[in-house]
Amino acid sequence: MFTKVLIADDLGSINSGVASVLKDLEVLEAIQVDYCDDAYLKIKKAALKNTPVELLITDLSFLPDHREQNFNSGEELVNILKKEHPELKIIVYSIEDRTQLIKKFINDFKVNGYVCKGRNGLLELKDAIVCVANNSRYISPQIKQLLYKKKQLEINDFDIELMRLLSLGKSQSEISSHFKQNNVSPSGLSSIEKRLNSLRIEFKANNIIHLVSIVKDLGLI
Amino acid sequence: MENIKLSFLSFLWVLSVLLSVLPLQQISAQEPIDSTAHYYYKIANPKSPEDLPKGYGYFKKQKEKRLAKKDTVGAIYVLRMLAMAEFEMGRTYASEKSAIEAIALLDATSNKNRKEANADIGIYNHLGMVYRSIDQPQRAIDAYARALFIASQLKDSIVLLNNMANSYNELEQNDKAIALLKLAYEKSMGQENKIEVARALDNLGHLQSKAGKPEGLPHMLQALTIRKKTKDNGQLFTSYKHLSEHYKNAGDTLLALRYASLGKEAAAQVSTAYKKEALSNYLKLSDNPDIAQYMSISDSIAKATLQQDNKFSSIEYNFSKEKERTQAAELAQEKQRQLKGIYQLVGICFLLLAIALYLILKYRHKKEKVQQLYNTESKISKRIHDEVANDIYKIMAQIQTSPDTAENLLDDLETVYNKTRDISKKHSLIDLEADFESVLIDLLQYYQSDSVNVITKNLATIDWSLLDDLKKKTIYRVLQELMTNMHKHSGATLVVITATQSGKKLTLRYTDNGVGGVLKKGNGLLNTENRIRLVKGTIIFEVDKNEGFTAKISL
Repeated sequence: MFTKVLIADDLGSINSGVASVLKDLEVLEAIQVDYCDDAYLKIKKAALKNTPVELLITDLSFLPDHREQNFNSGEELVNILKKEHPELKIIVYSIEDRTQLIKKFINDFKVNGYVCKGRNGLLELKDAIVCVANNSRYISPQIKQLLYKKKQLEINDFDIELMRLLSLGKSQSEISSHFKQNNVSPSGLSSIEKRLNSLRIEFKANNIIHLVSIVKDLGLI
Repeated sequence: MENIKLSFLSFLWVLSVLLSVLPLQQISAQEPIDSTAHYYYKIANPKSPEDLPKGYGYFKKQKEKRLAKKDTVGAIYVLRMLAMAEFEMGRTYASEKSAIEAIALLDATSNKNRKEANADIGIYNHLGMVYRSIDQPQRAIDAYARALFIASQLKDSIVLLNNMANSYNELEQNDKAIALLKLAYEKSMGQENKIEVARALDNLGHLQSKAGKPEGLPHMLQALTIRKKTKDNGQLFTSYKHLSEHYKNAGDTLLALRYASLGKEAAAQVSTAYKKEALSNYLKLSDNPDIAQYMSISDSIAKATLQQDNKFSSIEYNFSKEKERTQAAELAQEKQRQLKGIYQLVGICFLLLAIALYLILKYRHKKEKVQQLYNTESKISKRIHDEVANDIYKIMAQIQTSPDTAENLLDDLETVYNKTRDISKKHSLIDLEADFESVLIDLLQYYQSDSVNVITKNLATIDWSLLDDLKKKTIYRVLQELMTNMHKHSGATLVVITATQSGKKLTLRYTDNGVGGVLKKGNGLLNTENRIRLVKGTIIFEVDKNEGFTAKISL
């Protein structure tokens, strides 16, 4: 388990919640700061004294106040620390659930954990600290769900043409030969079958006839 | 020598024509007749050396007045008087210009006015006289021809024919001159006025004699007989002069001397000028070689002086014309400068106006922006009050009345928490630096669930770099609004978003298979309309009960 952990969050109540979690985990030293700059300086100082901070738990949004800051957000702090102290472990503990942003933290900054503040926030954070201490990555289940959510289906003119030909009463083999004649690819019967099947599932249709009816109702053909 | 003498006499005839076509009644009524008539006589019949300049000055002023009043008839009359005065003062070229100015006015005026002015013949005759005086007989002939063309009175025609014949004589085209004079004679036969008959006959005889024709002498003698009856000494002098010349050429010095002597007597009755010429004619016949030589020299000196005068007045006229032109150019330049000043002033005014307008618009825009900001703030505040505060109050009340289990409390609190996050999300920043397609997909994915499938068509083919940030933001917010609306009210299971791009124009078509029919223009959707209008786009909603919901956005 970690011996020295830094918590950066401008909300005292949350900090104390996190502190209690750390206490449960028997972390010896838990330092709390309200500003990104403080977090940066404390990490630097500890590194110079050869008693480095092993884990940083940080929020992303910090309300600006009378103190002028070099780092105004958790994003800036994480970015610089990952460059200057790659050995430091970082867990982001935030309300932020925009997938683009989260992807950036996980893929670009390579944070060790991303915990979403929510109903089970503190419990998840506890799991996360344990995971990170064991050198593995932790991501909140709800975020995971967002990140690996099935992508929306992107269809194109080929699909529309395919369904239009179906609506005209053509059989799949007829469509296949029609595509071959017009140099449209893919034109293989199996490709067409495969594509139609995935379209059927996406459009929540029970069969091909149902599919045509649905897309017609939606005004796509 | 011959030329000078001839022209001197023909001037007198010309003058008579001029006077005959300048009756005093022509003076326009609104001017005091007294002064105009007074100055008319100063020019037509000058008694003292100051008379001509005085008359000239008066009419010069009159010219401006008449032109300013647009009294064309009056202006033409005044110009004729000026032409006359200028000619008398020896300013031949100025006289020509005045006459031409009068002709230009005549040409520009209406037929009625032209008739009223009754000036054509007189002016052309005057021009002919001017041209003869500066030794341009051909131009004189042209002027007379114009006058003849217009002339309707026999008397005028006869005078003009005489003048024209004299010009031909100067051109040494005697045949033409004789033919014209014959015509004048024939025409004058029918006239009461024997003076004209005599004039035509005498001139005809004179030219015929010069041409060595035998009928010359009888014609001249016939004219003399008529003139003796009319007792016009000026005319008589001319007859005697011509006869004297005839005999001189015929070698009969005795008869030549006799007629010259008779001429002296007649001329003495007319004027000093006549007398001088008569004397000079008489002296030329003298036997004394000194006198003959003196006469010849004085003639050539007179001719040279005349030529010089002509030349000088031509130069002087050209000079003054040049000066006028320079002044006109200066005036035009001054006008141009003034105009430029005016343009500049107008330009500055325009600029100031534009700046003022810009400032006003800017101020108004700022006010609008502040208002918008305020609206947004109050909207958020209302949502927090309605959704968050109310819920928390409910929870507080619950705790007070029936202390609930922690689990239930946590459930309620989670609902509130999620609501606050929704509010935050709705107003959060949109990451415009990232790939906009994935930003949009993120948004759509958020609403994708087990029950709702989101399908996009051709979204990958859109070139988002063609849209500015405001448009991107608008698209994001509008789609967000539509998706929220779908999520809350429609119960749709399928959402299809079709994108089409042609040039810079982007069209997005949103369709779902929800219940539709619940298009409440209360808040959200109206808001989308406002947003779209701000970027000059359009949004069209199609709602059929139970047949889903469609929105077409173009920008």
